[in-house]
Amino acid sequence: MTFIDIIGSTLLGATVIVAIMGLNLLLSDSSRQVGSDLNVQENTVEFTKSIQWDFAKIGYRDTTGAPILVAKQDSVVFLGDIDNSGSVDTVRYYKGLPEELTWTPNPNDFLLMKEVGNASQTMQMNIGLTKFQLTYFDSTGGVTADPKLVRGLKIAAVVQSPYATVDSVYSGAYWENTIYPRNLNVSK
Amino acid sequence: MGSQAMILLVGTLAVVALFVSGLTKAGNDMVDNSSLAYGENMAKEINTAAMDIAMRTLADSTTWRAPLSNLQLSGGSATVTFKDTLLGADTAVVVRSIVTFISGIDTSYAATQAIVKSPADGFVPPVVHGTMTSFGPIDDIISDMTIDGRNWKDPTTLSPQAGIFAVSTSEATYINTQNAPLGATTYTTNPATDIAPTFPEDPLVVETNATWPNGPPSTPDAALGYPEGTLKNIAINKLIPGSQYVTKYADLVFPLRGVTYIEVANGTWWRKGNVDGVTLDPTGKPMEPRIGPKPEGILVFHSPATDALWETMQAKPVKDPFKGLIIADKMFHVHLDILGGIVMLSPNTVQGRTCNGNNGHWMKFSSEILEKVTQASTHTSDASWKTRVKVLSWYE
Repeated sequence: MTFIDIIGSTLLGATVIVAIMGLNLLLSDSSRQVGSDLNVQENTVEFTKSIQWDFAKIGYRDTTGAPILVAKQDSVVFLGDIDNSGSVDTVRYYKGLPEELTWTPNPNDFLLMKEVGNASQTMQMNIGLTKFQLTYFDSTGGVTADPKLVRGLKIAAVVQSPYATVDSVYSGAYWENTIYPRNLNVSK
Repeated sequence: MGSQAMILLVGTLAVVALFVSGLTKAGNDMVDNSSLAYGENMAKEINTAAMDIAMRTLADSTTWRAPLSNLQLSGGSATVTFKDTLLGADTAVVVRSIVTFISGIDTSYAATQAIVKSPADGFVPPVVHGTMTSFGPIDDIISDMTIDGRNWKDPTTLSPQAGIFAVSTSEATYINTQNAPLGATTYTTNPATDIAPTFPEDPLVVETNATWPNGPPSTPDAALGYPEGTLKNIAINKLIPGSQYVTKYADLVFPLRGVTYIEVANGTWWRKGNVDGVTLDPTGKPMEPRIGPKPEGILVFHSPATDALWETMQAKPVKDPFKGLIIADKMFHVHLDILGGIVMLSPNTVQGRTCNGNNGHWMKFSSEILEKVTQASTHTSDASWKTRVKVLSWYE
């Protein structure tokens, strides 16, 4: 074995090791990215299902004729029998503050709070929301802030991953949906 | 050296296999997730379409109760059922839809239960203040018949505490010159009190000085709050079965149904012995402007100048009550029973004449009848089911 052989095999070995390490890093990043995307996707689907389920019940079994009690950009309070139990629930959705969600590295995410009945039944939805914005429409399709006039509402939301990927980018998904709850559009 | 390289290679392959396996699983999970969400959304969309079909079916045929089974819509299958139910005192229809949509290995379901009333609401026209509402004096018009503003489901079944005045006039005074028993529901008490017809009448059963935000309505459409031409259009085009539009008595077809719109020349006066110039009927007796057996609906008698007079309206030879709303410019000698109400548009009603011999007849307010006759006219030209079916609740 000559000196050149030793040098050559060392270089070759080092190249192989670097390639393996690179491959390892690449696979690791890809895995993290895909895992993050999957997490965002699952959270988004769960979030949208929950919102669509609950918001479709706005006004169900309500007898007041004005089931939306509060119509703000970051919160809504409405009446509706969301669990079809026979009794009308008071449901409140509102966004928490980013400072309240300290256990994720993402500085922008916040909890979405859901109260049914009273504050003791608050459900904290930690799904990586970084945007939760409500817009309300009256019967003419115009934007309104008067709860009594609301006939439809648009939800715009961004869900992000709790951890950044290699490039310090958070996986994210934007979802927007306008719902016209049937029970809001019937005369009482 | 060779064995070390082999170990390195095997280790690398193992790590790569592990990552690839993880990536594949994550990828599969994402696809599964998407597929499931797609399936659920499709099921919901199909459900919406199935309910739309069901509602349209119900709007077009209020008695439809046969299930719509296995509707094939956008790759899914929907079944809709209809069932009568009671909601308080109201009859309603429960419409249930169940949808199945298969996406790959996932089967998604969606369901809706709606409770609806069909057809949509009629209403008691705001113009109906009393069982007989007039914008002119009515002292000599109401005769000696019993006029009851209490709310009647039918001639013998009372809906308590839900009536109106017996008579209402825009005039400042009212004198019951013919001793007619008058009854009503008064809301001066809480709860409201029904007052049975008596003579002399309780002052609470009569409204005088009735006011109107934009003045009294001068046309039949205005009286109901419809755009001008609505009732005439319904009558001409028979948008409600049985409706008719005529300009002379001889063209009337009996029994009266839907909207009967009689438009006559200014100054027309139908009365016993002279109806459109006809003095004798085919049997040689004095001609009478009768309204035939089992008359129903909205009966309009109107001239452009709002001065047409129908005198001696009779239901002979069959004394069936008229069920519905009569909107006439002027009336005198109302010799029939009425379940519903009368509105007289002219401020120049008949005065100074006697109108007795009518004490066997009655006039009773009925919100149920008025809602029934107005509900069909409200949305006759709508294609959408949303104005023809009233949704009471919707759970999806």
